[in-house]
Amino acid sequence: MNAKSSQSRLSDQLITLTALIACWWGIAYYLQDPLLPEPGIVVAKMMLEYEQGRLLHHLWITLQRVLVSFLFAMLIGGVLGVLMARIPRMNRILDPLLIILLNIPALVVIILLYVWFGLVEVAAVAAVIINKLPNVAVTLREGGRMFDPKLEQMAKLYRFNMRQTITELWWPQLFPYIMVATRGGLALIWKIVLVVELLGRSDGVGFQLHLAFQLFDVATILAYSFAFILIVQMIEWFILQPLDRHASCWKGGNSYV
Amino acid sequence: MYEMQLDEIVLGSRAILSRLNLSLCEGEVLCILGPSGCGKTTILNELAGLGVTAPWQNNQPEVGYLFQEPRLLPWRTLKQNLMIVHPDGERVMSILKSVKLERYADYYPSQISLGMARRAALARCLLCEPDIVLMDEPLASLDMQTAHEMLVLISDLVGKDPRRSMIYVTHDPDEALAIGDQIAVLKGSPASLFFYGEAKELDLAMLESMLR
Repeated sequence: MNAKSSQSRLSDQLITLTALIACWWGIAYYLQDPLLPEPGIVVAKMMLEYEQGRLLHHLWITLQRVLVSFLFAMLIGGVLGVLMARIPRMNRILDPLLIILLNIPALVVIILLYVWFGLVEVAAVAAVIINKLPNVAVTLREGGRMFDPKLEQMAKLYRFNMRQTITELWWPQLFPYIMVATRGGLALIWKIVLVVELLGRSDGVGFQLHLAFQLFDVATILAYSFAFILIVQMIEWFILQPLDRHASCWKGGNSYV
Repeated sequence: MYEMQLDEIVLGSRAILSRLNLSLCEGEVLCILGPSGCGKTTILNELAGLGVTAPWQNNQPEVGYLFQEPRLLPWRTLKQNLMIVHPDGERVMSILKSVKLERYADYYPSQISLGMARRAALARCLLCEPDIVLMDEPLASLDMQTAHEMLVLISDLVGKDPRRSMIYVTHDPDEALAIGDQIAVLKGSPASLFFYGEAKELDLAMLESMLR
């Protein structure tokens, strides 16, 4: 991707963000209600929380929970999904479990784990993993089902070993599905982590939101929310999008292969 | 001498291919001709060990297979595609040179033409030093000029090698007479051997009338 198209993409995104902030500012200015503070007040609150050291502390705690849950959910869900795609019997055995996990409300899992294991860190993280894992498994199962049988034949003919099969054949075909699961995963996981923190932890962004909610302090609620959205957006801009571009550099041109 | 025996092949409830017995001497080219859908590719898949039967009778030769589609990994460059099969970089570059692709070693398959991709697939096939090369309509979908170049290349790299045999599937009688020492014509449903003999016994008119 050249610098010009990258610049154009960035300016398109800035147009949307600017329009959104302008809209928010216009409504808040018109209402003059503390329940919808102006963007400037939210930014000032964010700076205050940052200067007092609370913002980074709670963001870091939440980010750690998000990353640990994300890694476990992707790893376990990914392996299960691929195995279910490749081994029909495994799919038949695990499919009902997957349907149940997909349909249990996130809140029920969180409450049950807190009731059974207490308000501990392991229960909090496990609740998030259990909520996300089935989505990853379903996405990567679809990916595993889309493997090109002609390339599989080629790999069999040239006697690819297990390492080559995984790295040269499966991983590149799974990559788009992994990216879908990653993007969806990050977005979903951090929302679930906030609920987990709100219900049973004494730190993290969710806990701060809980405190602010009791005081109807909307500026703090928005300050913490935007701070975390900014982090997720940074992950998207500086990790996921470059990774996506790097992995797609072979695309384009002929499609006979 | 390689002896091949293929049992009847059934897909679903329909038999597509009757039992076949074929043989091939070292350095010989056997052309299999037949209409589309008569099971020519199925025969090659079985001979390559990708099917369900064990067709080789006496000794199991090292088999190379040029699929009809190049089947290169699209996310790897030509050189990387070949190095997965054979890790020696010098050997890979030398074989790419023999198919006139050394300048394109770092290109992705999507950046080259179908003819070039077929040549890269031929290079990959030859890297394994096969005793028998299976070719599934290697000139299909190529323009006349490119098809001619490909045929010359196949003839030079495979056909003229006295140690290397070839089983060449096509539906073009001209192509079969140009390259084959032996010709097998498949016909009917399920397909069975209609003719199996020396190419020199045949001319184009005879072969065309058999295929009608």
